[in-house]
Amino acid sequence: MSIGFEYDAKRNRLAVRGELTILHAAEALAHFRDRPGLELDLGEVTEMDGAGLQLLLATERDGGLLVFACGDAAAEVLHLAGRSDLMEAIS
Amino acid sequence: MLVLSGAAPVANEETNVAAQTVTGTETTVLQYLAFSLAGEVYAIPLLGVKEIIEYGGVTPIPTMPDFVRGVINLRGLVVPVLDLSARFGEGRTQIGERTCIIIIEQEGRDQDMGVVVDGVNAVIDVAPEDIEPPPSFGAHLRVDFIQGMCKYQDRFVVVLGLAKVLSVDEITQIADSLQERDGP
Amino acid sequence: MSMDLSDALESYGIESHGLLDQMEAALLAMEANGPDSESINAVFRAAHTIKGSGGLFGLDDVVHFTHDAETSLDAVRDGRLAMDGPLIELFLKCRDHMGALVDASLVGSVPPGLLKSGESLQERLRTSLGQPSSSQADPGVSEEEIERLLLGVGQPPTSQDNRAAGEAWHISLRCGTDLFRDGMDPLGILRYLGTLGELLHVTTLADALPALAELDAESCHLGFEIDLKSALNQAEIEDAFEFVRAFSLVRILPPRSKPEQWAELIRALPEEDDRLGEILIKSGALTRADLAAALGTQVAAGDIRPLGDILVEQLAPREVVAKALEKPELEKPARDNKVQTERHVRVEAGKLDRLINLVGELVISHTVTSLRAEGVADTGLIEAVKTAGRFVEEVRDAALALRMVPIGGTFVRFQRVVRDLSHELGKRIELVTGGSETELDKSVVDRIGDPLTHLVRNAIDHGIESVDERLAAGKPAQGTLRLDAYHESGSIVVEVIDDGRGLNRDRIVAKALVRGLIESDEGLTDQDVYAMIFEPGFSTMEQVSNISGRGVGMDVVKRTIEDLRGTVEVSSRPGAGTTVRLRLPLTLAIIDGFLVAAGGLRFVIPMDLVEECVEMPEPGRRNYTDLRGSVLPYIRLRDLFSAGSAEPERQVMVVVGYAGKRAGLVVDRLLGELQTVIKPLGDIFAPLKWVGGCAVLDIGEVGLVLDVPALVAKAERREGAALRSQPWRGGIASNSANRGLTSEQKNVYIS
Repeated sequence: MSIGFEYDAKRNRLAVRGELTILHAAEALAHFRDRPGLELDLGEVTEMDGAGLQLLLATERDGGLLVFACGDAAAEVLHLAGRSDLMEAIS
Repeated sequence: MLVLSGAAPVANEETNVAAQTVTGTETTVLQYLAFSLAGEVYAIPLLGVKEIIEYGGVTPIPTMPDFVRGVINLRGLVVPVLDLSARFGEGRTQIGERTCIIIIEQEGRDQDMGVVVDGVNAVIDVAPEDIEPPPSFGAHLRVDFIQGMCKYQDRFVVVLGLAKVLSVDEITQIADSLQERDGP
Repeated sequence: MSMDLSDALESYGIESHGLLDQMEAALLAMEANGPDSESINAVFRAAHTIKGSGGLFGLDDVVHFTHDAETSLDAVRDGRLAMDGPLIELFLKCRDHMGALVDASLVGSVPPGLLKSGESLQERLRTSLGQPSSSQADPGVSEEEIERLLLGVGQPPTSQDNRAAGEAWHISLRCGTDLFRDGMDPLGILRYLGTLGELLHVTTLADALPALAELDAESCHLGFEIDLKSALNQAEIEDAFEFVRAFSLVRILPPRSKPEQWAELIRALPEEDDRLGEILIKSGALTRADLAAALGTQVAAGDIRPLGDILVEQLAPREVVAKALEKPELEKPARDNKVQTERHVRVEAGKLDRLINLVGELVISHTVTSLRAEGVADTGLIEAVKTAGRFVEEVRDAALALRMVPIGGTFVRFQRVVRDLSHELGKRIELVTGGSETELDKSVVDRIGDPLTHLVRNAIDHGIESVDERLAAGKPAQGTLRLDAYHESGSIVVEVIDDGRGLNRDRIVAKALVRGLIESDEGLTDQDVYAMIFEPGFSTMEQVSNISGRGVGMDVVKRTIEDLRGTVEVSSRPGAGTTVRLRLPLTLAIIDGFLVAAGGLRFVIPMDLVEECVEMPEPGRRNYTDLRGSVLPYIRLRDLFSAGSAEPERQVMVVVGYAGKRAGLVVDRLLGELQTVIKPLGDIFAPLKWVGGCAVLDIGEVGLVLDVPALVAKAERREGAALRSQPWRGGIASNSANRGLTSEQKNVYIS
């Protein structure tokens, strides 16, 4: 029950693994900050809640965001919240 | 830093500026409050001493053991007051000009407890290694009342084990045994 | 990182048990009187809310099980399933299981055994529905199933006329900032709404989100505009927001709402009108024409403000509007909850105690103030102090009332105990309760539950006979168990009365002889004998049954009641039944007392007990006197001191009466009436049963509040001990004819 991050500075790509939830929101926020145009890999997110969703929305609004990979857990949340559009980049 | 409450008269000036545990450059020093009782000096850990007030306003409570002097109203709180000398089986303390009540916090309980002493002497600093174990006899005091011995003015004084001296369970038991005997 | 989820979860637990109690009451009512739609709805609503809120907290086991129960309940509501005896029985079991699941989920994980027993209940629920007993992997989210269950059913009886198929509810939610911290997730609400119907459209609003640099990731700033197609009514949809509504903004518009309603909604939401309008149009909730109609509406329904104000508000920046809306929003939950019976605020007990302590200090200091004021010849001041006094009194009463709860809530629980036990034992017993509205201190209510349970079980097990036995004795086949509560001279009396076989004196005596409690029953009154059933280790049943009779219990009952400074009495008539009477103090923190002095100490006697004060007659060797022709034993308060000052020449006697007993208390002086706060004296004084606490009288002075019954009992015991060689005898002369003097009749002379 944890969260992990892997940042590829060259491509400004962040991969999030595990629980993108309130329990780790503060930690995750640090990785989302000051990275305009961040590309996100949510493929290995196992759980996501409103706090996680809020992080994505805040990041998207402030500096733009591209989700290029998305697992079931994150996809369900984005779908539920009416933000399936965030996943448009995934072919 | 322990601040002795200023709302009540403080019996002894020295106690006014008592630092709790002085962490010096390297060594930790334990602090004790030395007080006198029937010509003897005793010490108790300063930790837990809340304030020291002048003796007075004690309402006696009938049918309690003689070492329970009664209760005082400390700014709206009811605090039981014990006579330490009587608790040690040495007769009740004679009330004099320097007699005061030390208010002590009881670990794990809401209510504080007061003890009557003849006077407060000083706050003394003792290095932990300078605390001696209690002698197995000769102190003329229940061994479980003694936490250890420490030096004050080149003499060994008894450091009281308050847990036992102020033991609510024990006092309750004694009081209970008196209930069928005393009263109407 | 600190996340304190426990508060919200704990209140979910309490709330759930409250709902389960309502559910049980409704089921039992239907068992007694046949099904009615109101009770069915009550049961449904309880299950529904527990499920919904459980989902919010992610308590899946609770949700899954409750979902199945709800499905069957829905069929009942719909008339497809009859609420008959076996089904009520099944639902009662389900109710218990839900309680167990909630409890287990709150402390951690649900043990497999509990899940197993849940499965068998679910199986029975499905069988009762006539469904194939296939266990579905995920009973909560099957889309077709929900369609069928929730949209396919007929309209519930309470439904309003304001919805039609194909039209949707519109829900606006602006989350409270602490939502995450309270352990909740708005997505949980969305998912739950999804089970109530079809989520047509959800718009997630990030408008209130601060910039990423300033964002606190644990604060919630999300908002949602939701369109939901559902056959449920407003109250049922509102239930989904049960736990968030107090701190979040929730607006629910029924299908086919009028333009005025939309206008009101748009005005109530923090976002700007244009932005909201676009969202609503985009989501399909409104057409552009609707929006124009709504925003063109100058005066919303029921709005009596001048037009200018509305315009100013509509044009005002978001912050200003939000500010202006703050107050109405806080009031809104209260208004909306009219559907529910009561609105409660849960307060930590410690805070309440602190308030009551402070009120106590206020009462004391006001007493001092008014005494001082009377010493000054300033009529204006005295008048002002009097006015303040009136408010102090009202504040005191209001504060104390906060802790008082009716005993009815405790009584209701016994319906189930009586039902289950009588079924088990094959007896027919009706429970009748009286005085349910009698109020007593919450702390007392909490502690008498167990003793009462024991007494009730005892009465059912040992007291009330089997049907055959009753018929043979010429009694009605159905036995009656009564629980009664009433006030009597400053105490609360709770009675457990059965019309059973009564106590068997011979059996009790035989047992007491065997146990060595007595040497012979010579000279023992029936009352003395009956009192022995409260002795430790006493049980008269030859065979220990699994319901009572384990030899523990009655003595525990007595001890618990005595710990509360109450008393237990038992009376019985062979063949006619047994009555156990618990007398409990109100344990109010503040009492009206009568202040007296004796031996240099001050004592407070509860005013309710004081009957009169008389001159002390010439003291004799024995401590009783003649009070207008009846014997009155008395206690000298001075005797509490082993050695005191010289007795004053004149002493006064305060006559006290309680529970049909009377006694005199001899004191040195009477000091008059006062209102005072009882404070605990402290742990080390616990053995002093005769002290009910103490009162801080004036600066520095402490008076002892007398517990008169305990003081008299102490005198009785001492006398009993002194006369041990005499036949077993106890008690002072009692004169029940003297009970119940009203305060007008009390003759209080103050010397």
